[in-house]
Amino acid sequence: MEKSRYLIKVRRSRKNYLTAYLMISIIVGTLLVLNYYNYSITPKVLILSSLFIFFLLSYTEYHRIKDWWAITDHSLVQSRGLLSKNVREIDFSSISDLDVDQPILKRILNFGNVNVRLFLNETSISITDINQPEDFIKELQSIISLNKRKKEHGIGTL
Amino acid sequence: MELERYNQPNHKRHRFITKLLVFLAFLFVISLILFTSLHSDFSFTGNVIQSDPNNSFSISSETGIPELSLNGDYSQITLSGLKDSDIILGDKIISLNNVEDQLILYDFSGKISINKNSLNILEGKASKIVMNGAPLTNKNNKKLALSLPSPTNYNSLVFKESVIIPSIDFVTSGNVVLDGDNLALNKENLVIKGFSGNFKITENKLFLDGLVSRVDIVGKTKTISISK
Repeated sequence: MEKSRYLIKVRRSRKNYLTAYLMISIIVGTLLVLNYYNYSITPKVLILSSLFIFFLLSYTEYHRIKDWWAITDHSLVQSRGLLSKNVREIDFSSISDLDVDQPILKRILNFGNVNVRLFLNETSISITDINQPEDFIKELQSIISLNKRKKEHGIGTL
Repeated sequence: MELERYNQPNHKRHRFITKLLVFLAFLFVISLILFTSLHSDFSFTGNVIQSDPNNSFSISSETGIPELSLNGDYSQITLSGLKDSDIILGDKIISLNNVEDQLILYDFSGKISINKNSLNILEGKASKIVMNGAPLTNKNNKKLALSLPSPTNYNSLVFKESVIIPSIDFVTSGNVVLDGDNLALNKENLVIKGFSGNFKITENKLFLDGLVSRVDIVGKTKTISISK
């Protein structure tokens, strides 16, 4: 699985962490308003707030970058984890169908899950909280079709 | 056929618990910010360093002025003789040119740093400031921010209520009365630990009257340590 062979690589969307960003905004906003109206903010509270914001930002970024999914010209690659990795490569011939899972809020914000089901009776792949999941499915379907046509015409991949 | 572990009940439960913990932490932080800011008398530790009457003894002293920093909440502070200086109140700079200038700070929270000759730091917020008899308050009933742009001379500094000082260590001359026993100091090192009581600086002298947990007097030939 060489990196250069990835045609498309996706990670979770930052839209998935809007609640966390909203919490940070509320804390920063409250501190600014209190400071504007000359209320005293103790250093301990300021340090605690900064630590909480730092923890929340670090956790969301870690959660976002730890998993990724990629499409090569003949397979779908899934990588889970950052320190302990689990990489799985699924050949297009194993994929039976694809579906998009988008509750209303995710639909409004245009992100969601893509479920990749396999022919074999094993666990399927869930590509979670990616941006524009419908476009991703279209791209994946066109790459799969192209791959099928190549196979039918006997054009192999290197 | 089932979707992989990320959609399984155990993982969903784990995700729910993580979200709940983060939300509770958020509620804790925002409540703490609001509570500590709106109730300025709130303290994380309380007055834990206040002298315990069972392990302390009375002190009454008249000594020189040490180099000292105080940080806390004080109900009333009276400063006088602030001459040839400016004071920043909110976003305004007020000149203190008159020798008679007297400043009374009510509900002051902040830092004060002094030495024998000058008031080095006065920085904090007060609910009301009376300058030469004229009261100044914020329109919105919020505290007024004040600070000194540079060190200034002063004649007296008086705290209305009890002041807590964890430690003072300085070389001085004067009189110290400990539980009724009078000790005369002549350029000796005086170390006072855990003081709680009245604090007044006037006429270039520091007057302490209250309770103390330990006193060390280090002289040229001998050292006296007093504690309960």
